Parts: sequence; C-alpha cells; structure tokens
Amino acid sequence: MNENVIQCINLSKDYGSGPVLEQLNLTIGSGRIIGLLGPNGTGKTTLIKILAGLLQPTSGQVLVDGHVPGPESKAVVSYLPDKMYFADWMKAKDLLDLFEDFYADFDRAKAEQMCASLGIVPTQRMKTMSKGTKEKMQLVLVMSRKAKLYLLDEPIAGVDPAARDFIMNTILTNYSQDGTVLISTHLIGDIERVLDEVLFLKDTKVVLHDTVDNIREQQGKSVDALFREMFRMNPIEGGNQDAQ
Amino acid sequence: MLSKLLKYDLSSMLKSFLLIWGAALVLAFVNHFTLGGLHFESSSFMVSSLLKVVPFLMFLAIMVSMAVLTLIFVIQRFYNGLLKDEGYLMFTLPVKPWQLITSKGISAVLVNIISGIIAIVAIMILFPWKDVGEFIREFWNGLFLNAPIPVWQIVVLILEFLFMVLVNVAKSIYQIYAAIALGHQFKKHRVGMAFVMYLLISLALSTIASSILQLIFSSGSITLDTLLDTFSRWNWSFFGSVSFGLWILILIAGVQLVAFHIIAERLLSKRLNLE
Repeated sequence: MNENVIQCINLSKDYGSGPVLEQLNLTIGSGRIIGLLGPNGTGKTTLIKILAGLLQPTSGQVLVDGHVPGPESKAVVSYLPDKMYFADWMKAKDLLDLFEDFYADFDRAKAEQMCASLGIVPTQRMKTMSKGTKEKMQLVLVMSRKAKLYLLDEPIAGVDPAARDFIMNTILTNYSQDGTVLISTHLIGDIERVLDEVLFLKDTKVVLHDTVDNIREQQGKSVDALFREMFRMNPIEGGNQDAQ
Repeated sequence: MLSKLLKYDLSSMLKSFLLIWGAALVLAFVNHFTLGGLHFESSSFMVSSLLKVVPFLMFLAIMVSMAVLTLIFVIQRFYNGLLKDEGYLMFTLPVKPWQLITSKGISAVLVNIISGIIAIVAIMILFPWKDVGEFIREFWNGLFLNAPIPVWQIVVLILEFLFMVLVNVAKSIYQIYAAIALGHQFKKHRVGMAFVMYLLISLALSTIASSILQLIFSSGSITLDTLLDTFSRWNWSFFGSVSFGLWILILIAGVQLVAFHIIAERLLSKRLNLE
C-alpha cells in the first residue's frame, strides 16, 4: 500500500482564462480527514476533479495511491461530485447494481440498509425523487464503499442545518478508517470538529496545510476564525459619503 | 468490464426503444387494416389511389421518425452519457475510456440494426400481405432457385454484404463520436463545434477520396478502360468480382472506423475536461 494517498507535483490547471491552480505541491497521507477550504472560485472543485480523473492538469503530475488517475486509482477513490450524475431511466436498484458490479469495495448490504433508513425504495426511479433524496442517495453510494480516498465536493452546501448534521454523521460513521477523506467546503464551522488537517486554497495556491491541533495551538484560534481572518473581504463602501 | 458496461448501455437502450419499436409495429398493423388491402377495391379511382398513397406516406413517416430517433439516441447516449453530468459517474468507474466508447458504440450499432429490421418488418405488415408474400417468394426463387451461381456463393455474398453494411453503420456512428470528442476540445459552443467537426470530417473524407481517384487516373497510364481490361484479363467469376468489391468497401469503411475510434479514444483519455 502506498503511504501517500495524494501527491501533487507542480500541478497547474488553466481553463484558458488564467490559472486556477498554479505549481501546487502537496502530499497527503492515509487515515485522515482533511478540509479543503477556500472561498468560492479558488480551485477546490478543480483539484478534486483532477484527483478523480475528470479533468486533465495543464502541467505537473498527480498521483493517487501511487497511480496517475486511471482505472487503478478510480478503483480506490470514492467521489461525491457537486452535481447529480444519475441517468433519468435509472432506479435506485440500478445504481446499487452498478456500484456492486464495478467497485470491489462496495458494501451492498450496507447501502441497502442506509437506503431503507432513508425511506428509499429500490424500485423507485431517480426521476421521481426529490433533490434532497437524490443527494442522499448519492451520499449512500459513495459512503458504502471501503475506499482509500473519499473525495467529497461540497457535501453540505445548500442544505439546511439538520440535513448538514445528517450528512456529516453519515460520512463519519461510514468512512473506512484507513481511508483518507478530503472534504471541500466553505462552511468551516460545521465541519471543523471532525477535521484532522486543513488545506487553505487562495489565489491558485495552497496557502496553509497544517493539522487542526497545530493551528489551534500556534495561532490560538479556531480554524473558522483563522479562515475568516485570512479571507476577510472589505465591504464595498461608497454612495453614502455625501450624507455624512 | 466491457460486458458490465454493455449491460447498462443495453438496458438504457431497451428502455428508450422498446416503446418506439412496439409502436412502429402496432401502427403498421393498424394501418394495414384501416388503409391497406381491405379498401383497395374502392370504386372511386381518386379514393383508391389516395388510399394507396396514404399507407406509403405512413410507412415513410415511420421510417423517418425511427431514423431520427435512432440518430438522436446515438448522439444523446454518447454526449449526455459521457460528456455531461452522467459522465461524472461513467468516468469515475474503474474502466478505460476505450471500454466506455466501445460499449456506447456496440449498443448504438445494435439500435440501428434492430431499428432497420423493425422498419422492414413494418413495411411488410403495412402492405397487403398477399403482395408481400408474393414478393418474398419471387425474391427467394430469383435468388436461390434460378440463380446462375451455386447457392453457397450467394450465401457468402449475402453475408459479406451484411458485414459491409454493419461496418458502414459502425463507421457512421463513430464519425459522430469523433466529431463530439473534437467539439469537446473547445471551451464554448461544444455542441455547435461538434456539428462543425462532423461536416469538416465529411469534407476531408470526400476530398481524400477524390484526390486518390484523381491521382490514380491523372497519371494517364490508368484509365477506366485499362482498368476494366485488367479485370477482364484476371478472368474473375461473378462471385469473385462482387466479393472483391464488397471487401474493398469493407476495407474503406473499416479504416475510417478504426481512425474515428482512435480519435475519440485519445481525446477522451488525454484531453477529457468535464467542466
């Protein structure tokens, strides 16, 4: 087994309108929960998609469990995208079959149990499910795998606080203990308690990669407070000067 | 892994097409009775000719809609299935891009073949069954009983012809795949660019074909006459020359098929960008 689950060497990505990631060097070991933090548009999703093999780096190299993204790495990566990836014709059962067919680490019984607790009937068509139920179905599929790397792209964005708790609990109670979980989010307060490490992305670069304990010890503040400090934006002023 | 992918692509295909195929057959069946042979003996010439035209138009409508739906299916299963949201699922499966493309290709070829067969069956149902039976009987007799060449040669030629059709169908589908993969390389207007790429590929192919022909005949040493003369000196049988012609067509389509597959596979392997 490779000790480094993720290795990025001089990784850059440019969509054509300026770099999104620039000369990124990064090493992440196994068995940790890492927060990939940064404001919107700082390359969090881009990094995750490169790791998942959906985007090609413009330059540099990425290794996932020692492999360039491809069938070998995909077999050990469980990826939760920030959008729905179901075909309309599929039923919940079709998806369970698909995951069972392709991923050796998929625990069907566990997935069925989670579906049942969420009230998802296997014969239900994806088309007829609500957006929230679809999101939960996707989470069930991803977390029913005993993966080496979980890539979770904004799993708690756009849901109410109760659903956030459900999602975080599902992740924490189901991820494989030897696996690494990379969660991208800008809602730090909600996940800070579970993180081992954080990665701050700012202006196409990693500006901080440290353990949560170190941050608290050395900076004397929470990750959330540090994040707000680092990414503080001044409110746009103006328009009222005349009145003063 | 390819067989597992096929399982999903084929079930998606069946879900979309069973209804269409069923409807085409049922429609043909219904039209056979309402517009077909039953009323052909009408006293009015106008009515009777109209009643002969209408079923033909109906049949044409069935054929056209089936062809259009098949084309939409080929494009949509590849584009939506791999390069839109569903691609997030397919491209994170532990399979190679050539397997994803081949699985889509095989199911698309199957849809085309089955649609073709259904169309032929629909024609037979639509027209007066007595005439269809007569036609089949005559066709069969002409082909096998009164043929000037041995039956086994006819069977071989039919198989070669069907293989030629198959390779050409696959080639046409893969030309669409290559165009979509090329269109995917653009930042914007990817669908429009795929269409442009399709036209450019077609243009390039016809240019290549005409340049090759020009090259052969422009030298002056080869003319249509010398070519025919050469063939006649080879003293080939009917079977040999038709078979030779079919294999040339198979080779031409086969080379294009392989080239389109390589274009689509390389682009989706090395330059995939699901944004």
